[in-house]
Parts: sequence; C-alpha cells; structure tokens
Amino acid sequence: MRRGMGPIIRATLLEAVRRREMGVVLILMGAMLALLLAARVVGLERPAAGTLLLNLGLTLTVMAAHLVTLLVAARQLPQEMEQRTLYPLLARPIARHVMVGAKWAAAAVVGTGFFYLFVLPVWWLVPRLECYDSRTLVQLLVLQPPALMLTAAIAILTSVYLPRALAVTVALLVVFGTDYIVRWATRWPVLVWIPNPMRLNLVLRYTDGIGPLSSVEFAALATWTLLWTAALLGQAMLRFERRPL
Amino acid sequence: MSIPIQVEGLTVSYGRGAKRVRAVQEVSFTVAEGECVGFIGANGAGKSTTIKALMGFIFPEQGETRLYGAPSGDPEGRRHVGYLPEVALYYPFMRAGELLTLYGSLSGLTRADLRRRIPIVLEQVGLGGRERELLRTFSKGMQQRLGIAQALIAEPKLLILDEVSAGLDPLGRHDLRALLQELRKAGRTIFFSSHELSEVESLCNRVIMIDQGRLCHEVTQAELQAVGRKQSLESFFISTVRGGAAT
Repeated sequence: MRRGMGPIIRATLLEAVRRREMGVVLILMGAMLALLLAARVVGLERPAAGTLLLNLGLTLTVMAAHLVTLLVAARQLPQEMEQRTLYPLLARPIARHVMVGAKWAAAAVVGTGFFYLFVLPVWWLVPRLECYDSRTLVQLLVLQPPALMLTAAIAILTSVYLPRALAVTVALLVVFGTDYIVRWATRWPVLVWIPNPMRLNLVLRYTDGIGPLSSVEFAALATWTLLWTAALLGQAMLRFERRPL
Repeated sequence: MSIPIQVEGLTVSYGRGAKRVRAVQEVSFTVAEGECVGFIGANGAGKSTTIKALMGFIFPEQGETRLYGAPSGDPEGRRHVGYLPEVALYYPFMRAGELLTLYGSLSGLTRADLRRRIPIVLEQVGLGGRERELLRTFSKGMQQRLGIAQALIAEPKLLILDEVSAGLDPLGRHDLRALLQELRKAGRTIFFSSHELSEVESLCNRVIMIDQGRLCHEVTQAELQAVGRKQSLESFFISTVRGGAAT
C-alpha cells in the first residue's frame, strides 16, 4: 500500500460509520432482517414464497451495498473541497493520486463490509424450500467485491468532474441504469462492454436455481470489471492530479 | 539545506476567455531559513493565491515556486512544511485527537510520536484536554486553534499560515502571538499572511506587501524599526498602497 493511504482510508471509514445516513440504512436493513426472521419463525409453506423472499432479501442487500459504496465515494472529494479540508491533507508529503486511491479503496471496503454483513444473515434466515445451486451462490459472493470496486471507481470519477449532487445523480444513473440500457439496446452489441456493476449481480441466477457461470465466463467477467475499474480510477487520478484546487 | 521558499516570476490567472482575471503577476521573493516574514495586502490582493501556488494547489501560468528546492507540486518539498489554510471546517464527525492523528500520520509520525505530540500541540494552542471532544462542538475560534495545531503536529521547519489570526478573539490572538514568538526563537521559518498589522509588526523581521497581484514593497527589519519610530505599519501600508499620506 502506498504511504499515506492508510490514514486516509481509516478517516473515510470513520466518517462512513459515524454518519447518520449509515445509521438509517443499517436500521432499514435491520428491519428487513427482522421481517425475514419473522417469516422463518412463522414458517413458509409455499416454496415459491421462500424463493421470492430470498430473491428480495439478496437483491436489496446487493442494491444497498452499491448505494452505500456510491454515496461514500461520490461525496468524498467534493466535500473535502467544499469544507476546504483538502488543503491541510494535500499540504502533507502525499501525492494527489494517492489520496484519490485511498478514497476509492475506503468506499470499496465500506461497501464490501456492508454486503457481507447482511448477505449471510439474509441467506441463513430465509427458509430454502427449493433447490438452489451453492456454486452459483459462491460466485455471487466472490463477484460482488469487484462489482463494488467498479461502483466506487465510477462514483470517484464523476466526483472529480462534477459537483457533489450532480456526481451522485450521474453515478446512480450509471451504476443502476446501465443494466437497463444494455437490456433494451440490443441493436448495439458494443454496449455489452460498457462498465456495468449490476452485470455481476447473480442473485436472480441463484434464486432461479440456475447453475454457475462457466470458469471462462466467470474469469472474463471478473477481468472485464477489474480492467474497467483500473481505467476509471486511473482517469480520476490523472484528472485530480491536474486540477487546480 | 536549500532555501525554504522561492517564488520566481509567479503569474496566476483565474477563469477563461473574456472572464480571465490575473490574480498574481510576476511575483518574486524568497524566504530564508529562520526568517519570519509577513505577507500583507488588501482583500483580493493575491495573498492566498500566492500561498496556494506555493503549496502546489493551483498551477502558475508563468514562473515557478519551490519549497526547499523542490517544485511546489512535488510532495517531497512539503515534508518539512506545516500549513494553515485560510478557512477550513474540520471534519465534524472526528474528535480533535483523531484529526491530529490523521494529519500526523500523513506527515510520517509514528504512533509513539503521535502520543507524545498531540497533547503538546493541543496545549500550545489552548485546547489542552480537549482531545476527545467532537469537532462539531468546536466554535470558529477553536477550529482556527485546531488548524494551527495540525500545522504544528509534525514539528515542521517551515510554517506557512494563511490568515493566521482569522476568527480568533483578542485572547486567542495574544496567545497566538506568543506561540509564534516562541517558534521563531526556536529557529522555525515562518511565512504568514494576516490583516492584523500590529501582529505582523511585532513578529516579523521582514514584511512583503502585495497590491492588485503585484509586489509593491518589501520592508526589512531595519526599515520596520525606522517605520515604527515614525508611524505604524498600518499607516505605512495604507500610504504605500494608496500612494499618499495616511492618517
């Protein structure tokens, strides 16, 4: 890890944990877990109801993890600039790109931590009355961290070009809207290659009982995501290095 | 070691096209080791722009700025620098100790160094015992004191302080003056901008005046003493900037 990244990551994590918005999201997720627990205690008779609940719980967890990552990442740099805390930070012997990298890493860590904190209780609480492929579940769990890294990179990139509110809006559209664009724009196959964190969301595949991706498909998807993450983050770093503050 | 501050033909502009404004024009000066230099000028004269260029936050259109021989954009040059920005709202979710830990760690202090330095700098700026308090409860003056503490945390050889006494009450300004005197006696190089000209007069061995983006006068210690016998620095500054006699 580059020198200077650690303290910035720690400060960003501290902020994420202490912000009221995070408390609200945690309460909502807790309420969802309580509902799933109630369903488990009462007992579900119809297998389809169990699948529906599992799908709902896992989808909400994935969406919330991406939302948290996006919000943490997109507000970091604009907020530092608005409050002028950027100056004492950059007055230290650290390069600007190191700071961007640290903010990105912290957002990805927050999102990943959030995802694992909730995905396992959701999976455990919902009674599984139908057959699901556990190999697909493993792929789902493994592919989310790179997906969250891509979301953080998209949000960081928008935040070095745009003011906070606009950066959040554009990042939301890219992260959650690209999947719809790709689905509907079948005329332009090239769109399949644009950055799309939701493409790594295998919840539906898992709850539909479909088997795992082939190893080639899995590796290609992970590589494609990591390459886009590196490209977007690199561009954000380059832009921030050259930006007058 | 090389010269702490070198500014050579610095020109900085803001905006584009017809809206382009030249904030600083061909400014040159140096600050030698152990000097305490005041940087004074009216609002919008170019003080903060010069300091931002010096710190590498903005890029010159022409000329260059160096800290200890390294170009301002080079992080290595900032290794021995403590900087106080004009205004900053420090992270409201953090405690004073956590903030100083962040800045100290970024400056390369170890945990042992931090444990030793944090109580000392908080005491120096009059915030002793407030290490555990959340910054959202701090007043503007306390935030400014904390800003000075973060500039001092890594015991820098060079202090660059922008509007150092902004937001401080008379007591705070008095304490700050004593602190800067102490640092000066300890051999630190200090470069600061301030609108408190009596403070500048009492602390500095050289004063650089800037007006409408250009250096208009440089007053040495001998001149300052001569000025002090006849008139205050404030009167001298006003007459220099306005080009006439001041009352």
